[in-house]
Amino acid sequence: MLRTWTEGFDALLVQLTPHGGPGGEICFPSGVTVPEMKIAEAEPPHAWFRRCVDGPLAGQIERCAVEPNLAVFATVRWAQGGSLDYANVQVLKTQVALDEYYYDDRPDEGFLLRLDWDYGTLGPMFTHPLPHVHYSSFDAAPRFGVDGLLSDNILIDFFEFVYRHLLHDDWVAWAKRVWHRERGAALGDADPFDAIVSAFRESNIAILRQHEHHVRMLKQCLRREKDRWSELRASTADLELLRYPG
Amino acid sequence: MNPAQAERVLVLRSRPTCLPADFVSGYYGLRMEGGVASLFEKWKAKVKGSDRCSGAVDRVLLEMFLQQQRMLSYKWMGARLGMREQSVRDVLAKQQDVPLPVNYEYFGQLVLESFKDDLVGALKPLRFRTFANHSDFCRRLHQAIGEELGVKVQPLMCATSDALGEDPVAYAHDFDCITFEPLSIKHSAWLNFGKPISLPPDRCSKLFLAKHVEDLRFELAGMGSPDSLERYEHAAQGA
Repeated sequence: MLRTWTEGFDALLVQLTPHGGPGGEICFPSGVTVPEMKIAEAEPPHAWFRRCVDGPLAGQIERCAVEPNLAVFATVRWAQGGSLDYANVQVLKTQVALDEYYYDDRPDEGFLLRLDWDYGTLGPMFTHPLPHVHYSSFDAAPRFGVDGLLSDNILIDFFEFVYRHLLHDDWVAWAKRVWHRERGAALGDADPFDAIVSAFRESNIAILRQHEHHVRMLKQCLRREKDRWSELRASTADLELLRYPG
Repeated sequence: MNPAQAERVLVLRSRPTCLPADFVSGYYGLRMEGGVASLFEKWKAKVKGSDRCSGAVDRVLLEMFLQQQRMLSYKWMGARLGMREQSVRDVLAKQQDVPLPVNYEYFGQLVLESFKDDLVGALKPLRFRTFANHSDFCRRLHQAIGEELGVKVQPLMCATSDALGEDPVAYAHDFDCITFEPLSIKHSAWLNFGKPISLPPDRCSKLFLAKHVEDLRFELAGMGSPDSLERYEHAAQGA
């Protein structure tokens, strides 16, 4: 039975979980370190991916494949108690299968996002939100903050951003399962979940306003569910300190 | 509105909403006969209060039945795929070429909802693609069907988009519950005829609504008046 959005992410989550151990570091794929797989300044994503596959992965694309069209390269460091010290997560989403993207030379069919939680990259004043997301390999490109402004569960929030935007059907199916378990089953014929999904798709703000209460409850249900998946947490004091605007 | 449309509004407002045969065939694309009628009756027998519409079809029960069985008529599967009903049948006739091994068709009138996602997943150009919107999805789907299955799809286009002279014309995703015309997401207004919220909303064309907003103001769904009707009001005046 699925715990998260997909079986692929279920498996990744197991690998990125400290399982109660003291401080340490996890890499996915295992044995692939940040210097080897970090995208270089202005390096095109397609060239970067080929470099990672040909080098650290020794030609084995499946080692980084979380989904047939989603590759992940992650390094996570934590201290005792689940305090997140460092996270570098690169996600490549392709519009074709990963091996097609690699072998068939389809450079325009993929895009890369990178999550940085790194105290060593605070940048000029308030330019690098902590954590932040890169959408470009150009160092001059702006960085964006992660969803869930008040949440310290930044790793899961980043992956949820990826699935919510790029594998949306899987995300909706998960949201529906959680909602049904928490509230939807009890509501029966009055369950507005499908109406809310349709209203978003059709940009029907009037309907969403009508169901404001349920939309808020849905977000709370999903927040509680995601917070059960990982014990790793960023420092809320540092999140508050470095957030801008205040 | 014309007499047929006015009659449909009266039917939709009635409680319970008991549908005559021409409404069931015109809007849902179904004839309550044979295997469909038999399955529906068996399902209904397990539902309390299911005998409200003797001689006609209880609308809420029909939609609940289709939702729980996870089935659509060919007409509505066509709307989901942006194609006419015959094209759905033509594509299903080629399912073994894809291949799609599941039996999707029932009683010559119903199709499993899962056909849509299974078809997309089985067509190589589409399997991992994120689509910009429904029209983008339909264009790519029809192209892929042509290339992989050799079926020339007849597209189902939004009547409102066509009437407004849009270029390109938007693909339909639903049907107008009053005019029965194909309708795109962009030009849909939601109407509330008292169905349970768990059932799909009723939609009508914003152009039709602009012409008849006083007749339908009690059925407007959501809070506040419909947004952006101005464009449709101008178009209606110019017609």
